[in-house]
Parts: sequence; structure tokens; C-alpha cells
Amino acid sequence: MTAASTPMVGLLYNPAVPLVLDALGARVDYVEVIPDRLWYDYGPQAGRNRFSHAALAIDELRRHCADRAVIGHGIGLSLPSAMPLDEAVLDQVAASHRDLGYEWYSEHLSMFLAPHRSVPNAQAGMGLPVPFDEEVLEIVSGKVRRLSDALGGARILMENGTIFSEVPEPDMSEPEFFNRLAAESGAGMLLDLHNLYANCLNLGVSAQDYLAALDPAIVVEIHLAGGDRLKGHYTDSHSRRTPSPVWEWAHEWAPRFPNLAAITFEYHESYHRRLGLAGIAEEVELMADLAARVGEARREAAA
Amino acid sequence: MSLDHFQRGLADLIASPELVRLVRIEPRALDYLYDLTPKEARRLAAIAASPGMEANCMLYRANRLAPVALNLPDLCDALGEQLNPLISAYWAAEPTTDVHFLVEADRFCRYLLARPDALPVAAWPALQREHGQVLSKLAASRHWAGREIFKDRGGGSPAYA
Repeated sequence: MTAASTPMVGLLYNPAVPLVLDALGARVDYVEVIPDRLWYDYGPQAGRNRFSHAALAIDELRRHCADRAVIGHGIGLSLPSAMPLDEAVLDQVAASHRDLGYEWYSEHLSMFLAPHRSVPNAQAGMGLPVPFDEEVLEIVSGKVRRLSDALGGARILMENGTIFSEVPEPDMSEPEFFNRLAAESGAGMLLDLHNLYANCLNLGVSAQDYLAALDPAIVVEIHLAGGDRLKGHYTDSHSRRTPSPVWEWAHEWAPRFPNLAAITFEYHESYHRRLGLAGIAEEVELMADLAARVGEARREAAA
Repeated sequence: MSLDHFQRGLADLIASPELVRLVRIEPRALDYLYDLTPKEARRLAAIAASPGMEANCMLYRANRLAPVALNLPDLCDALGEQLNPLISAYWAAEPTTDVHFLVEADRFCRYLLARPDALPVAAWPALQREHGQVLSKLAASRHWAGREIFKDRGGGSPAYA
């Protein structure tokens, strides 16, 4: 990433995205792959047969990666959980990286795996909030370093989550946690502006205060998405196009992030028809406009 | 270290509206269930009392219902009003989910098969047919088990370092 470069624009890969890639071609610079969706995990008790890969899906993904960059975006390692990394899953993530060549790899600053469970690979059912404490910072920092080592030194990013209940009495604020995490582990930030939007609506978080408190240098990627209202709450369901306030924040703040390298639109395949190919293409064009604006600002600053 | 107990308690809360109600009435119940510091106990009690707990519990149920609804639609129809109490009992017995939808659907079927008296007679044909379909898909998904599919292409050099 150079000071005068323009961020890439891309899509979170799902089974419907190949239709978009075939239609939009080079207008999509990269795909962001969730490696956990490339295999079936039968748990440690299955021994050497624990993982069975989705071979056809991987072949199709390779076809679309041939002339595009690839970013890895995991959900299965649950770095904030108070338990060791699942080394077998980590091995699979590393194998996928050796094959697909991730530009960088991101995980979530949310708890997906619950400690003390009887079911192998047991998931909590959703991403849960984590305490922004020194203890969690130390746990996540150590795992970030271990993950980076396993991926041959690849850069690791951590994504801010969407939550419905805050953990009170934190040692530090969420932006401070990300700043400290970057300083202590080298992890960059995947700034999900739609998650921030949901937290603003659900918890009264101030987006401006949050964004102003972040070290601008740690933000490497931005996520955009849309969601739904659910009985007085707002969900990050990846079901709609990006809401206007999120676009406004993106245009206001993205030019201030000197290391921003990618802007990603996320949607779930079950909403492909609702969004429509034309709607997704418009999101890609809007992201390209934003990326061009960031690039122009960088060139002006460098001149 | 008690962070693991805090995280387990948090996962238990979103999986159990009954536990949320109990903790809202009697926060000291947490002390009997988990090994928590006073601060962690205050945190869990505050989370249980928060307005967002309703959304947490709803989303947990929606996420757990998805693999069952997608893979066992006729069984869900056949269970009718019995679906809610049966699947709630299953979730209480098995509070964690498996990310593999087919495994999760198979687990629910096996839970029902172990409790034949709780199952409406009219639901048996759908259970047997759709469980068989799930097992077939599971067998197919195991086709590549133990075989390495990823190729070592050098890992790609991170463009951003």
C-alpha cells in the first residue's frame, strides 16, 4: 500500500457471488473468502476424517480468483474465547492460504466458541460481546501473533462486532482496545461501518466519537452492508444495500485512513434475489467512486 | 482464570430466556452456576437485565432454527404447534450449535428419535424421510473426508505488510 494508491473494491464471497463476478468482471478487484465455508468440520472425534472439503465449490472459487486478489475472512477461530486456538482448524486456514494466497486475513472481535462445552466445534449461536479488558487484550494479542505465524507472516485484521448488550465496566473503550491491539500484536482493523451503525441504533453509540477515537493508521479495510429491524432492534443481517448514514460516514472518514486498502460489500446469498444483480452492481459502483475519492485525496496530499 | 466461566455464562444466557428471567429476579443465582469474580457477576447481571437481551435470545433461536427449517421443512410442518416445545427442549438439552447445518439437523432428528413418546404420530413419516435425506447428504459431504484438497501454491505474498 503506497500513499497515493487507490483502495480495492470487492465482495464477500458466497454461493451467489459467481453470478455477480461473471456479470461485472474486472469491476470487482477481489473476493473475500470465508474459509470455514469451504469444508465440513465433523469435530475432533472424527480424527483424520475431521474435515471434508467442498471440492466443487473450491474449484469454482479458484476460477474466480485466477485474475483477482483474495482476502481471507474467518469466523471459526473465535480469538477472544478463553480457550486455546483449535490447531486443526488453524491448519486448515493455513492450507487454504497456501492455495488461495490471501492478501491478509481477518477475524472478529466477538466470541463465537463458548468454553466448557461438550459438543466439538460448539458455537455459541451468534457473535457475543467481549469485555474490553487487559486480560482479553492479552489473549487476543497472543492469538493474533500465532495466527500470523501460521499464515507465514500474513497481516491479521480484527473486525468490530455488532452487539445488542454491552459488557459494562470495561478497562478501556472499544476504539482504545483496537488501538492497543494494533500496538501490541500488529493487528490492523477491519472497520465494519454497518456494525457500527447497528451499535449506534441499538446502544446509542456515537459513530463520530468512535471513529475519532481510532488511530486512523490501523484501519486497513472497511465493510459495508445492510440490515433489518427486529422488534425494536436493528440487525446486521446482510440483507439489504448499505444505508445512507453508513455511506456518509464512509465518505467522511475513509479519506482519513492512510492505510485503507480495501472496501467490501457483504450480503448473504439468501438475499441475492432481493438485492438483485443491478442493486449489487450499483453498490460496487458506489464503492469504486469512494475508492477513487480516497485515491485522489492521497495523490493530492502527496503532491 | 474465571473469564471462561463468564463467557460460558454469557452463552448460556442468550440460549435460555428462562435463565435470563431467573437472573433478572435473582442475580445471585449466577454465583451458584459459575465461578465468577464480583465484577464478572455484576457484568452478567447487567447484560441479563439489558434491553438487548430480547434480541440476543431471538437471534440465537433464529440462528439455531435455520438448519432445522432448511433441512427438515416437512417435519416442521408436521410437528405444527409441537415444534416450539420440542425444539426448545432440544436447545435446552444441547445449548450449543454445530456450524455444519446437516450435522445440526441430524442431531435434532436423533433427539426426537430418542423420545418417541413425545413425537406426534403424524410426524413420524416426515421425520423418517427427511432424516434419511439428511443422512444421505451427510454421507455425500464426507466424500472428501481426510483428503487434502488445497494445493500448496506458495501461499501468496501478502501485498500489505
